[in-house]
Amino acid sequence: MLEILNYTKVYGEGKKACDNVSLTVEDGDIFGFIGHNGAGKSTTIKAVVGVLDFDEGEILINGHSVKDEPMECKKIMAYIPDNPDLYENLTGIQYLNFVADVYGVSEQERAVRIKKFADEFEIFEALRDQISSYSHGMKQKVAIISALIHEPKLLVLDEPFVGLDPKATFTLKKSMHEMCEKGTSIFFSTHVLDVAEKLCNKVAIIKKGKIIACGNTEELIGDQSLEEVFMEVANEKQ
Amino acid sequence: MKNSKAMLLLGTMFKATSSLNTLKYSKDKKKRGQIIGTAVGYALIYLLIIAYGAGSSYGVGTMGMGDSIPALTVISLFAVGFIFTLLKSNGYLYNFKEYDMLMSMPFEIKTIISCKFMYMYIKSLGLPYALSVSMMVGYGLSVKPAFYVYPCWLIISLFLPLIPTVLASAIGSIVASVGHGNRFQKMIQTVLIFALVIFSFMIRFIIESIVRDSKGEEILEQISGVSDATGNYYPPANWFRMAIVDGNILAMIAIILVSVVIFVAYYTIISKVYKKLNSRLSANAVHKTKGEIKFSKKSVVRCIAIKEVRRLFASVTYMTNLGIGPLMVVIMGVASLFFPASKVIETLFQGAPIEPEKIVPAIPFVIYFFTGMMSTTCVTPSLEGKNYWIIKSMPIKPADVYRGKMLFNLYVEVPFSVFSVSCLCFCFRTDILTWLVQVLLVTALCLFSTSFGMILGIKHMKLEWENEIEVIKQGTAVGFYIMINMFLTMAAGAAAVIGSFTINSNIIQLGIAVIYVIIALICYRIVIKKPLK
Repeated sequence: MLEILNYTKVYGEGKKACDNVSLTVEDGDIFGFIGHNGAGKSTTIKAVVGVLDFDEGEILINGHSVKDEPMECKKIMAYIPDNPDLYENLTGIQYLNFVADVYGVSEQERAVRIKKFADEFEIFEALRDQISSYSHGMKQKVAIISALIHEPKLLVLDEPFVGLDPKATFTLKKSMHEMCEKGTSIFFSTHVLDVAEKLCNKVAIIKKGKIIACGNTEELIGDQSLEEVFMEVANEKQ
Repeated sequence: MKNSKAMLLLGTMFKATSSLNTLKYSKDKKKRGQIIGTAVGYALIYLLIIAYGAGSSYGVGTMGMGDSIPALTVISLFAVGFIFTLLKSNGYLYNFKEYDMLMSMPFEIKTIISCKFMYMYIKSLGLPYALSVSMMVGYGLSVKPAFYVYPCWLIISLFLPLIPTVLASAIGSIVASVGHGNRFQKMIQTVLIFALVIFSFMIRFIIESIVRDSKGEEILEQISGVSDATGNYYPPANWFRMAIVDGNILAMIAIILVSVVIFVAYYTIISKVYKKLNSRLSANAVHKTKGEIKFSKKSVVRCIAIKEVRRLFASVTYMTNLGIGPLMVVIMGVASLFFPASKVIETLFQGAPIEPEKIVPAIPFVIYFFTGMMSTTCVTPSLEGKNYWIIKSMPIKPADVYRGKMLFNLYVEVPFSVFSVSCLCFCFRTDILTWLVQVLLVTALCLFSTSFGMILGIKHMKLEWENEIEVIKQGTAVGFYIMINMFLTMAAGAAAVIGSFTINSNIIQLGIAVIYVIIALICYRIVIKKPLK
């Protein structure tokens, strides 16, 4: 579903934010992308979702190039940034309707899905209010619902659990599992290694823009915890 | 599908910043009251613009130059559209808040850029449209044209600012890409925008000087000469004249078609480099600053003032909008050192036969008109935006927060005002006492600007903005400040000049300075008692 091939991003004055990053997310994978702050996780994610231009390499979504066929890629994908900047003057439901319109979701389908997810995230009543009146967690919930409305084939999330209450975290994890069972692929960055260990069937560790470990979670960690492996690998290759 | 998506996006952009949505859904009565107050304030401003424009064009019409009004309208709209867009286009078109969200959705880049442009264009159309309608009223009253002229004028006016807006946006795009990879990118961009704005003002002076050097009938010839020349260099001016004066429908179609084609060409070209340009701009934000890490201690008030200085230098939009006044007075001051007083009067007062000593009492007001036309205190509370919690959660007295913000405004206004007043006093060869009074007066005006602006900035604080332009250029506080400050300055300036005919000008100016200081102190007392909102 997602192939990142030799992706390199150079910022001004020659600083390589990402250097020759390659990884593959198969259909139905929950792929965790972990690393220190500033390691290059968000830079990679932004290139995947078509927000950031890049210098070298290729990113393919369902066989389509993000560079050459961005529309084909975006139609089947959804992205939730780490700090969602939503249209704050809109009400929650106005925003969700906007997203549903963009993805061409029918009225019946959107009614069912919005109701389902909004009930699960306990935010249905608040959808009538302006987003500016929401807490960070509520905004995050609206962003998550907006990403799930059109049932994407690839879900890309940047630190999705930040700001969510325990119930919402549980609901999101449950939704992620359900989506994967239907064949949706999920690629997300996180600092919460416990969650990554339990949730992901694959993980990649990025450090200073380079992938230093990548593979099936079980094979990668063996008898250890992901936290131990992360610390070991991160220190080893310093 | 593409068009429906563009309409959906454009409609959502408007809804997302529309006060109507807040009026409809917000439960905050105060917020709703502020929105109504703002609407009333803007209605008053527009009424004034319409009265001014209609009066001017009626005057031109009754002097027998009615046929030149359409071309003059085009010149005015070009100037307004170009300069105002230059000052804000980059804030609207690049690195805006919801960029990531929109770019990750299935929108063509062309759709995003055209919608952002149209959003900016429609939001900015009010001023040029009001100006054009007022010129039409003056034209109608003085020339009494056929009825078809009015709908024709109203329709074309919707398109007339399009070309200058596209031109300014294109220049803005070039400016945005200049200095990429350089630590001083924002500074370079700001200097370029300043240079372009000053160049635009200079063009205005050149046109005026052509008219000014002539008298009576020559002026008539020169005005029509200027409008003819404008028509030669800028065909839409000619087409508009042909559409209005000659009833040429083809000329009307030509304006609309050419404007639309230029717009489409612009966004098609920009869409090719749009993502690259935005990536470069965001790359600049992650530059590593070289040099040692300093640990220096400052007082709380100074610390907040310095924070505001850094906020100013972090935003090209903020710098260009706030810095233009101080920059103009510095140029004016330096220029006055190299020219005799008579030449300065000729430039400032369009060659009117005024004796230098009659002008001296107006110097502080002229300078303040530029430095104080905008007060940072109107915008700094709102510019805190989502970061407001930082200050609110710190053990800082609200009064110190406001003092810091006011100190910052004094940093911006006072040195430049004093410098320029001093230069002009030197140019006019005033005595030391007069210079001292002038410096005191301009400082008093800056004190007023600071504390009065702060009251408005706190009262009309708006933390939930999508784009800082909403606060810097379109904020309620700014609108009220500009209107009230302009009238007070004009009234006080007129009182100083007229009063000096009968009483010693130093005494009058000192009197005005004392009044301004008292008002500033009252405002200051009100401000420091206010809690953090």
